[in-house]
Amino acid sequence: MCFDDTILSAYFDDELEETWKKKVEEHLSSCPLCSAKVASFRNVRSILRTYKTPDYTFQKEVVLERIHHSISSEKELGFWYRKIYLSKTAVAVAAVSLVLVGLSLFFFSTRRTGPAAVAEVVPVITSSKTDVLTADSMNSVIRYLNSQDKTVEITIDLPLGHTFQYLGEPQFLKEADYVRGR
Amino acid sequence: MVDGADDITQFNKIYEQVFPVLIKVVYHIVGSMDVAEDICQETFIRFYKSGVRFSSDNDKRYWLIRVAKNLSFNFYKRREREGRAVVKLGNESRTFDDGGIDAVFKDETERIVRHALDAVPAKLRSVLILKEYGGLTYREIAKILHISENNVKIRAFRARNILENMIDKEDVYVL
Repeated sequence: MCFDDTILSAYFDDELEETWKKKVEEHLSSCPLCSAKVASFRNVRSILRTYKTPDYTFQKEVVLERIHHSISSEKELGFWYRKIYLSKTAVAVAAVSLVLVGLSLFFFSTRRTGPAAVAEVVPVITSSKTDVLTADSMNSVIRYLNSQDKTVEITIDLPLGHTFQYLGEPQFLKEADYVRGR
Repeated sequence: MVDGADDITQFNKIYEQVFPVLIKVVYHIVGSMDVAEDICQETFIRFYKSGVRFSSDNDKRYWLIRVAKNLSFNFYKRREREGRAVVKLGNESRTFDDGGIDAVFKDETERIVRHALDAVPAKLRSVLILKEYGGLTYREIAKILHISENNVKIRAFRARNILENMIDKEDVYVL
């Protein structure tokens, strides 16, 4: 019985164990088909070997020289340009620590200044007469204006504290945009 | 990363051992000595900077050949994509000592072999090139490609079979 072509190919590459190698050799001596297959592998190898690698003596020296040059120029860059190799665990621990420190800094800074730091704007609106009202949003300013039957002039006093923040759309900063009843 | 005089000596030692295999394998994938030179250089620089701890010199060899093989196929694919798949045969600086009609036949045979190799799928071609031009065993090829030895055996046979058919069509004679 003939051997599988992959076995013949492995035999040709001298990759079979001694016992198998002997069996194949015995078979080849009496099987022209399998012998022809091995001969065809030999032919392919001969043809492949006509495609030779050019002499690389020069390349071998030049490449080594370039590598050493590249290595030495990198060393000259000094400490701050050196690459540091860390394990994945170390990088993960550092990243988590950084996030935790960031979060705690943010948390404590907001707690120290208290809720006022992020509170809504509480403008004090003074009409031309004596009305003084406290508004906690732009809507209450608009409601107040809508309740008036004539044009009124108002002044909005913004909080003076350094923690004051503008929140939402800055509509009240553009007086010209306001149209009564809108 | 390699560092210090001892490591430089170690590096030079592995370079001496591996460069001949590397240049042969890379050259037969990319088909140009200039490109092969650049790829070998890039591979050794990556090795120098890698910081990977190898358990043996063999592992270093496998790593270097694997990286060079991958860089070569990446180059090959990129060149194909860019529509510049014209493969230069041989080294540009090569001298034709044998001259005359023999040199013409030799060039033609090389062109056909190059063309036939290009027609073999990359997975099979890498095994064949590592075997035929790198002179590596099935075991070494298996380690380099991260596949089983049985798989190497099958791929080597399939690659030869494809080449046999291609060469039959081209009617190639060996001088």
